[in-house]
Amino acid sequence: MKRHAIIALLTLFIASACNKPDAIEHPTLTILGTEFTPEQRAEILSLSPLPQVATKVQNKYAADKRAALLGQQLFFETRLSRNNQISCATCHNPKLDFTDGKPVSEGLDSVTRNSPTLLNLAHSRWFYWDGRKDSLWAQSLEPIENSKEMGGSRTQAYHLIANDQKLRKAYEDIFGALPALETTASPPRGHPIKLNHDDPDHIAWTRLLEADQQKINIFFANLGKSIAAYERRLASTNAPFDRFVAELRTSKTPVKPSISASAVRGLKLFIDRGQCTLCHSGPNFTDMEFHNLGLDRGSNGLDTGRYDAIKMIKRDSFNGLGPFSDNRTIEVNKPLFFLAQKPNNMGEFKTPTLRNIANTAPYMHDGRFTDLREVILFYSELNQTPALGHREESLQPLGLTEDETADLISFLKTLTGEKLPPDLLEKPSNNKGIKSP
Amino acid sequence: MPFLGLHRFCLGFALLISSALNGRAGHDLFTQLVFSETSDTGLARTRTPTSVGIPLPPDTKLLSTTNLVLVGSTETQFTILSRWPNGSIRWLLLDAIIDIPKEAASVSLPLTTGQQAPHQGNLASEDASEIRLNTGAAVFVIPKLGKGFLSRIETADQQLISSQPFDIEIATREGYDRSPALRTITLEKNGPVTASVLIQEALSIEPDRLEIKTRVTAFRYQSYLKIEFLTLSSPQNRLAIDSPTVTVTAPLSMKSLAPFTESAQSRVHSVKSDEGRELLWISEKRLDGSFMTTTPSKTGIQTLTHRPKSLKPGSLERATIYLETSPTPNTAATIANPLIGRAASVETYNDGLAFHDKLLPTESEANRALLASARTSSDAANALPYIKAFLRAVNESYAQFYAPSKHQIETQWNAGISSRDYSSVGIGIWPMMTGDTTLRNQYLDWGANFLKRVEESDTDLEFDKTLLQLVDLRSHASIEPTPDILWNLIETGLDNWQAIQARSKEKPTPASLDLIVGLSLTLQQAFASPENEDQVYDWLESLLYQTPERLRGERWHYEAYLISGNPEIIRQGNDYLERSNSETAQNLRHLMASPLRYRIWRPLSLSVAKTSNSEALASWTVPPRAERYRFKTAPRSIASSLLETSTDSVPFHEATNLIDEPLPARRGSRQTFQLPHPPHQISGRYLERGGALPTPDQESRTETDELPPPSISPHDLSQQLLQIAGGFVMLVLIRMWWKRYQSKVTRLLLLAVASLGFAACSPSPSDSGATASPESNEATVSLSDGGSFRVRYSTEHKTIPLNVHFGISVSVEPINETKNSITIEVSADMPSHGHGINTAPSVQDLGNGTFQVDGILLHMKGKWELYVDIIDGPIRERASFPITL
Repeated sequence: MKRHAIIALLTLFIASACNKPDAIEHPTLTILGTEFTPEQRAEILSLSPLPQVATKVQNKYAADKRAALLGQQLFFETRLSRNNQISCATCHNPKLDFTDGKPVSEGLDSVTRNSPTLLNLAHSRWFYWDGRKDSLWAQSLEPIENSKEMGGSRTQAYHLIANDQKLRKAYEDIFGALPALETTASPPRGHPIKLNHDDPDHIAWTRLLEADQQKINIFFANLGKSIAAYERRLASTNAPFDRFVAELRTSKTPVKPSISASAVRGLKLFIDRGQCTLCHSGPNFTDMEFHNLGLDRGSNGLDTGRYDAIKMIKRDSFNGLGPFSDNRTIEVNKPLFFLAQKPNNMGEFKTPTLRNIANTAPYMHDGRFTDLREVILFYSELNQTPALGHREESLQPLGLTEDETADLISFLKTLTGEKLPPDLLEKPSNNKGIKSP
Repeated sequence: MPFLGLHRFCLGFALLISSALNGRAGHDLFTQLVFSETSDTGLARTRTPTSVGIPLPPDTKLLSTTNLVLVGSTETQFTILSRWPNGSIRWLLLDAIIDIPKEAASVSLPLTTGQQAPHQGNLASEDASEIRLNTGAAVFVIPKLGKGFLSRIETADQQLISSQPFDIEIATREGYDRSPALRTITLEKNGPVTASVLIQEALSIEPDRLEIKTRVTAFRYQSYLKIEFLTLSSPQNRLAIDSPTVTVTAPLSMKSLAPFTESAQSRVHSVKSDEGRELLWISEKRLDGSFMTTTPSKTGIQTLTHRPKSLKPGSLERATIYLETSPTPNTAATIANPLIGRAASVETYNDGLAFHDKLLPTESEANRALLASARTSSDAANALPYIKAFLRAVNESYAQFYAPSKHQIETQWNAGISSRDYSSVGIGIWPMMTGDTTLRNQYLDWGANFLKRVEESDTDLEFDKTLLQLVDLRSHASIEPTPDILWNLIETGLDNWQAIQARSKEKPTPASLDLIVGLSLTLQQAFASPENEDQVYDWLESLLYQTPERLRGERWHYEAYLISGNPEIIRQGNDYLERSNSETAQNLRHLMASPLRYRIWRPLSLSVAKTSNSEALASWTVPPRAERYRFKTAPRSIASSLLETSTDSVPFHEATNLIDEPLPARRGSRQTFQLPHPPHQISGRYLERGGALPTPDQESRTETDELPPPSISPHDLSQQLLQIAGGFVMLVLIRMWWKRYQSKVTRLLLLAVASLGFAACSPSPSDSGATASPESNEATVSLSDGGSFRVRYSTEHKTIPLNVHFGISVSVEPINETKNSITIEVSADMPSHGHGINTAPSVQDLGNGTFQVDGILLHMKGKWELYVDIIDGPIRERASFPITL
């Protein structure tokens, strides 16, 4: 009979193998008292770990360590600014997870938007809150020349590198000899300004021979590519949530979850009722696209956001399809190539990453919310009149309780990654090389 | 398994229909307004007051303007001028303060929904004695009592009070004087951007009467006033007033800028006053031979003299001037006045000669943009409203200089009386269409005079002929204009409109504008109610009757084509479309896509039996899709063919209407109509309301008949292979065990287990149901919404990827033969989110109705609709595919 039993079992096993996989009953998973369906488990697994950053980009120096080191020098270089006091690190302070902790940034003047973290930026499709740049290197150039931020100019940067022996050597080691200018008495500053041809910087720029303008443009793009090579290394990884997902991936039920019961409840809210993963999807917790949350006017006036940025990026000579890009193929530039301006882009802003979100207050594109509680309250009530356009219609007031809000915050805090190596957080000293992360 | 494909198909169609009913998602951005700099002076125009009329389609569901924002304007003022039958705003007048930067040729400002900034309050305030217009740069005070149009002006550092009033005076040989008793003052318009006051006065020496209307308009931030004068000589006047002088007086500290008429050329002069202030003055020679001069004097009073040739009975003269407070040097820098910059620069670049319209903001760009958006709108059903709205936009762009009130329309009409230069054809429509009998009679009186003049001058201009016809209305028993006259007017207007566009890229001339006003008013009136819409169709049809020879010529009337059920006309229309790519042809192609073309009056086959001496009974079979009937009677036979030109018969539209027609009964049934008096001849028509969308039962029937072979997905295939393999292994095992175990009990047990195993392996009905659900397995074949194409798509991806650019192959198979080459456009929407994709997918034609599409990016989880729009000549149809991520 034992044999019969074995045969019967074997037959049943085969029969069960014939069944559709859908028909198999997956057990509900319970973690620290919170239940997850198999679909929710799959959703959680899709949120970690972060993949390797893309290697096919418009910057052929992206993985060049020497470029990254030069980029790090330039990131902290105040001499690129008009008043020699402002650098990239002014608004992207490494000590504040590369933000400045202010509602809106202040360079030479106040701007209208909040300084976002640079962590994991290499995973982005678009740059700036409105996505008016399509590469990290092109993005890093604009603040240098923006009159409200650093107020410098590409010609000023050229003279700085040309006259600083150490920087010049670092530059020439990577990009070859710095080309000499043919314009006699070339101006100390100057860059093209589309909207104001009367600006002294624009007039100075037009005084340069066309060939020199081209040389300076290539040089300037190279600076951007160096800064981008540095910024690519700013990754937030191995957060408690990542460890939690790693455990979940290998075992059915994490025995000792690396996040608290409250955070697990928050996670459930995040992927389930909150529908947060509609936009904060994937391992970097962003769909890399743009949405209108229906925020009211705020104190900085109307901001068309993505709508106007689409026109800007299409005519930007530093875009991925432009003459300074190292890879102008459609394959690499699909986002730009297929980009279209749609009416619903009015008032849209980029979905920010939630990695290290607990450390990057204040929040939203204009820094209107001082802490995560305020942000969650907004989603909970949605009681603001959209300043422009219409609210993403999938957004419905969540009506969260105090406890639920606390759970969500607990969860968001588990997204803070490990500290970066200290030598990435400061201006490199002259004799110190850059370490591989 | 064979049922699986069918199941899937039905679901696909259910979604297709619902998506067609829902329409396209997101109407948040209403329009993009382009304001252009028209001169090359290179001056920034900051805080410039601008007005533009904005037509909106019926499906915006916009009921109020509280959530409307013109992005980039400093201040806006919305006036709702009319609404669609569903209550949503149809016509909006926008007054806004905008900036045009120095380097920009134009600025493009989106009009969208959003939260308005708190506005700064209305410009005008009123009490018993005066109206104050406070622009922020100056306060203009208009007295309610006494004479004149201004009593004082206050600016930051001075108060201007004239010893003589700011006033208009008309001096004539007869010595007309003003009668203040007739003066009325109305605050016509009051908002945060602009406010206007109308002052109506009259001079009278019995029985002659001369009306003077003065409109004073102020704009926020501006230190100038726009003042329009209209002088109207009553048609009942005995005599023409020869060489009258209209004199405007104002203190020297006012600059007068640009006495304005559209047809005038002016010379700009600049002189220094005693105080060292620069004064601008302009002498103007109008094309009609009248003069307007501004005379700077050192007496503290300046006069602006307008000298029309004569004020004939029933004629009107108008002039517009801008009066600018003369800012002191301290405030000059802070008061931004585009007019000063512009007027001053005219002198330098054009030898002092310039057309005045350069001084004014133009809207024709914006109007053109609206028409362009109508053309490119993929929402075919909205094409006609857009085009109608465009005509209204033209009307409004004119009306912005003359507030769009009935009063102003009346004035326009009156303007037409003055001379033949102001072609009154179009304007004449207005009094004919309105219920205002005084206006009608006035017009007819004028018509009689005009007729006389035309006869004397022996002219044979097309316009005059039309006018004669209009005037001839007097002899009609009814005062209603006949369709042919109206259509002549519309045609003339349309022809002129094209000529106008060719002549002037910026602005139509006054003469042609009058026509357009008339034209658009006619259409506006015509489309105001369903009854009127029918009338328009009747007019269109009459056009078919009356001008068959034109239909064969180059001057194709596309309206006729649209409503025609006549094969000959359709053939000619097709020929025309093939050989022409003119704007008309393009419009036609667009309109062809509209469901409106399915609305056709068709002949109704009647049999009439006389029931008594006083009654007859008509009976007929109710045709399918009959919506309404129309019966006509005539003493002679009534023509049924559209191209019939026999003199023996009466065209249908000219026959007498019978009233109280019944509504169509159930289709296919017999219906009767008692005719009150036995007619000589009776003819009937029914209105066939078709529709762009085939009915659902038609769709499912067609698809059930021609199902594609059921496709098996890789997932299904692996399932089947597993089932076959499992079955095979079991058979082998059973055979093996059958031989080994001989006892009955064991064999029975074996059979039981085996049958259990087979049952588990065989496909169950619930399996196929689950597989056909749209969530797991969506339709990749669909019929286009017009039913003309079967569309399939496939992708190399097993499942459509989330947030990754992907491509699809599309094949389009026409249901009937098509001789045009088909093109496609691909997009996708998330109807429940109110947005779609952010990309513009590329399409590569691979020939034979197949296309490679790249660049689709579905960036969110949820329900998407993938759209393939098929463009086949004039036809545009959409196939929809649900995709769930």
